[in-house]
Amino acid sequence: MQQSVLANTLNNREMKEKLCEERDFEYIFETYYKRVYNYIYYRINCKCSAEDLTSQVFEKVMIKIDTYSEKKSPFETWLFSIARNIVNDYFRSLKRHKFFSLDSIKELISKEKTPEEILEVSETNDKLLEALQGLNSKERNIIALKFGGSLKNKEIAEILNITETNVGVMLYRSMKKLRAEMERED
Amino acid sequence: MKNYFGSEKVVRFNDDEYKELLKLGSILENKDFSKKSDKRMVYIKTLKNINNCGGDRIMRKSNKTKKFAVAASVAVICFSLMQTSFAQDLLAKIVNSISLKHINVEQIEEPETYQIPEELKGKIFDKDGNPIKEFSKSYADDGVYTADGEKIVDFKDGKIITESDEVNNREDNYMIVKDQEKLNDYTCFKVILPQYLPEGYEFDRAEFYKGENGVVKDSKYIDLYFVNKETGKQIFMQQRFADEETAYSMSTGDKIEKVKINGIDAIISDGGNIDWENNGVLYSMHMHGKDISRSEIIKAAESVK
Repeated sequence: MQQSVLANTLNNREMKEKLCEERDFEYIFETYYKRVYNYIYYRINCKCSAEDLTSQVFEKVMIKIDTYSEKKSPFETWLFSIARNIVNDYFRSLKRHKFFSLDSIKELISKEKTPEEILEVSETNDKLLEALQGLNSKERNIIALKFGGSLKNKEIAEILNITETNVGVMLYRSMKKLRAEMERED
Repeated sequence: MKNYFGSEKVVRFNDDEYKELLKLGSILENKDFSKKSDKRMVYIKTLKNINNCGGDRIMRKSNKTKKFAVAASVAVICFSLMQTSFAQDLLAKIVNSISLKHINVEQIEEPETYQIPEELKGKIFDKDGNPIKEFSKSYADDGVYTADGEKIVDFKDGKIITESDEVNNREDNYMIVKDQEKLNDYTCFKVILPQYLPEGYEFDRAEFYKGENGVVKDSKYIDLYFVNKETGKQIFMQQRFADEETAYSMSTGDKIEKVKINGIDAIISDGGNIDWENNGVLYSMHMHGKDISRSEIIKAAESVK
């Protein structure tokens, strides 16, 4: 008897914790979804993968939320450092199946059937996206942090561990190159 | 007026150019790619992954986050060991699953053949130049080719990636180290090479992903390639410093099996992959070749010590 009472209390506590977590998650997800997704999309330009990686970012954020310390860094800097690591890891592993996995075909197939696929195709034709392909990963990352993630230069500086001035210079060069690429596509 | 670039003392530009860049900046700022994404599905999937964890919460979750991590196979086309795609992950039926501390391998049900998507029809050929209508494992050994006979190694964002595209990408993004003695200079853990390899194979090179800063220092990852010069076949090995970030999960349509190497649990999947962890390092070896037997695979893995 006593045991079951104890079990109930435990369950309730777990339930409460879970509810609490879900509310936190919802808040964080709603607040940052657009920025995280856009950051990732600026870097990888594929809807399927961007969705998956966005999900991974929020998952990791929720796992590590207890380890986040306000004193060490602003929340956004922390969040985008996680996003950046996840995209980097994605690139690292992409290359690993260079002998081609059937999976890439599967992704194409699953996309093909949806109306989004049609949008996707028109999107890849987008001049901007084409031009982004002409940047190297460093340049693309800084554009993505700035305009996808809507981060301030100061925050970008913290994430990349470089000076704010350096961020300005890199951003300037990257945008100049992007503009040149866009003109070239014409 | 916005100033994207910080102090103007640092970057001087003429007025026209500055205006043009500001214009571009506002275009970029107003782009919202997320409108076309399936936000609700991302939400549900994330929530599911977060809640889907029993007692060993952190570990299981961190495994799940690395669906992309292992999708490699060397010397053959990787047909069955694959990254689980997003939608599939929600639907796929898991037949069997083996977990180590930071590694998780799932066996899932998958169809025998796959239709080729419209946009790639007529662009993919077998080794004799016959057009391929649907994919199956029978192409695993010989590979698939473009109309010009160039070997296809991947499909990315609906485009064909050939061997030469891949080489260019590698040169841009990877640092190659040929000297075995220097491997430990770049990693944050001790790299151990196998003392035994199937006959004819020897160390060829190590590769490090440069990241967006172009610098390799205290890397948590190293990719190793061993090549059989006579046949041109490769053995691929990746070593990772084991932590929450590097934990990975993979799935295959083929058999998976738990084996012991030097008394430690390891997972053999797809007949040619072996994954295990020891002393804080994750090891993954891919030895796909008809000439490499199961006992050879275990022997090679056991020699990493």
